[in-house]
Amino acid sequence: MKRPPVLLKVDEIGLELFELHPHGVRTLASFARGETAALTGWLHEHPPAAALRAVVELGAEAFELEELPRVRGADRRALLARRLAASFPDPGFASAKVLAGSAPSAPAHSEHLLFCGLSETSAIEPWMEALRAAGARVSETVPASSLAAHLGAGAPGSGAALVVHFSRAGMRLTAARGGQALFSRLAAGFPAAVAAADARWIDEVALTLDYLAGVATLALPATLPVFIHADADRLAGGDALHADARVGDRIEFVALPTAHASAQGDPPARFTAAADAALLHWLAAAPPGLGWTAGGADRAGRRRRTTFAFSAAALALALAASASAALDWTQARAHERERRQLHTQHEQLRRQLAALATASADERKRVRQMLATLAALADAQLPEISTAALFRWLADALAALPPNSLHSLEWQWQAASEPGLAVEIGLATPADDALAARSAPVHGVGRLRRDALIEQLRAHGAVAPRTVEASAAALRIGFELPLALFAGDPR
Amino acid sequence: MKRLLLPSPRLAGTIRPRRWALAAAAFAASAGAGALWATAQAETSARQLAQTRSALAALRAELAEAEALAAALPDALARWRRLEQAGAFGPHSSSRWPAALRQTLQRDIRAQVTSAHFSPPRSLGGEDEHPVVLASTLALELKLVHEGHLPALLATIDTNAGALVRKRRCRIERLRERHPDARSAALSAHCELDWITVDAGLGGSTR
Repeated sequence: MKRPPVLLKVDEIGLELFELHPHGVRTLASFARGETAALTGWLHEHPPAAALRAVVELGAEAFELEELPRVRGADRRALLARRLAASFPDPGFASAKVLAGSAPSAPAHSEHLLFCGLSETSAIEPWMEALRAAGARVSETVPASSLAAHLGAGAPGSGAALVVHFSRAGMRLTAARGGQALFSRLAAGFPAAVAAADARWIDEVALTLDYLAGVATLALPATLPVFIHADADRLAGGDALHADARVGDRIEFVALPTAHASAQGDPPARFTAAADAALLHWLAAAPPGLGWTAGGADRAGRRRRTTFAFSAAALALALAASASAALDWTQARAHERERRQLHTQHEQLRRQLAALATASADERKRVRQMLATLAALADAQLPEISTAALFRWLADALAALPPNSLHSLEWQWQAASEPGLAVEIGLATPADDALAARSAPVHGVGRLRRDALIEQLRAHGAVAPRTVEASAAALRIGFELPLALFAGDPR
Repeated sequence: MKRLLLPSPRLAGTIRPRRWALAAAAFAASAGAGALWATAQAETSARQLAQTRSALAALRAELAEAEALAAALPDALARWRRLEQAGAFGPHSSSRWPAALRQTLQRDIRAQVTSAHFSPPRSLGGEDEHPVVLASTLALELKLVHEGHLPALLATIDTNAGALVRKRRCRIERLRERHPDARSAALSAHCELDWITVDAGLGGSTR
């Protein structure tokens, strides 16, 4: 089970350790001023499981407002360090905070800084040393004035106010604006137990209000609201305070919300315990960084620089992402426009296709098959030269030959470059033509007859008539007859 | 008296000084989400555009083919019908002469078929699984009284073949030995005819 957080409270009386439970605060140990060795011994016996948080309720807290030139970087850090060292003995218990807005008379390029911290650290240093010696780590050391300003001044952004709270050490009055303490004082004469019986604590409130009204640099409103963190019936004169002419019209009591589990004794004692418990609850609820650190303003400045750098990086990333998004978006729109145009074209082409006889894939397949078949039958689709037409042509071409001269006739269809017939005729050599068979001059006469025949064939349209064989036994003439020669002939 | 309620002041105190950084981070996150969305949109639109381009290219190719086929169709139909009329469509039964043709040739006294031999059918082409174009070569040996009988005989074959017949070659030669009877054969002829059929899945069914 997680242990409840351990809280410290340091005041002029001493140091107390508490444990914060959901049902209230429980006191673990209490040490009077000077009992540092006892604290160390106790911590050795009860080592804390986690870092401690401490609230400091001391009267030696000073607040100084100053206008300084606005500088950055190392110059700023050095300026603030010098200023804190000049006003506070231990800058570890001091801080510099930038206040929003500047005084009307402030020079340009300057900033309004609040330097606050302990002007005297003898009440706290020994305790811190004892804690370090015991190995205890303190993560936050928060002045009670900062707690009051941050958590006791009404809703965030509600404006300036005077926050009054009580403890065993006294009554603290803190002027706050924007969660920041501008001024604070501890009226040690009016701890909770005294204020429960002595109504003169009201005078301290009025005195403080008068003082604050006279501090022009704080620029607080004339009627500063006052939040008193206590039950009105526990304070002397509390019930009648609203009738007080000095403060009655601006007073608001804020009930103490927490209980002190260890509270015992009479009403003032229980009031003290409840007031201390409320302060401790403020401590537990305080955000990190509210307490003192060395070079507080510089830390704040580093935090601001870090935040600025992060913000700048995030903004740059966002701009780059936005630019990329814009580019992608533009591209997507361009794609969409083109897609619509192409879709329109697609529809037009579909309509064109639908209008064709070959629109369907099946029909195109049939036509392709038909064309393939026709290609295979290309030769068969050419008109033929009929045998009768061939015979008629031969009869005309060979009319000059004696009857029965034709011994053989051969023809062959050719569908090459020019369709037609390749023809070869064989002519009989007369058996009793002894002259032609025996004498050279007769050969010359035979050649003359052959040449005349070839000319005759050529004259009738034969192409390339030539002698295939010319011998005593046979005479064969070859030639081509183009298809065009028989164009008018029925097949 | 009023109970001041400061819900989670510690959280509020942590957030307030960092509010601009958080706002910038939120803006960056939103811009990043927007960039991712826009990138997805661009990718989707690019993919859709590519699909549309592809579909359009395919349709253009389909249309080009359809237009080319439509342009070739009228001429193809005309040629197809001529082939139908020429008797090209039918089963390839080159193992036997059609009975009618055989009987006609047997009765013809002008020409005597001494030998008729069909070669095994060969394919002339055509698309796979489509009309099969087959051809067999008929080698005819004939005895003729007169060369003028050959055209008539070939015409008879044309008419009764039940196939598309193409004359490839013929040779006529006078017989050396001849019977003095004028009615006996004086010529021998050898003809080779292509016997072509189209076994149509299309058949003659054309539009």
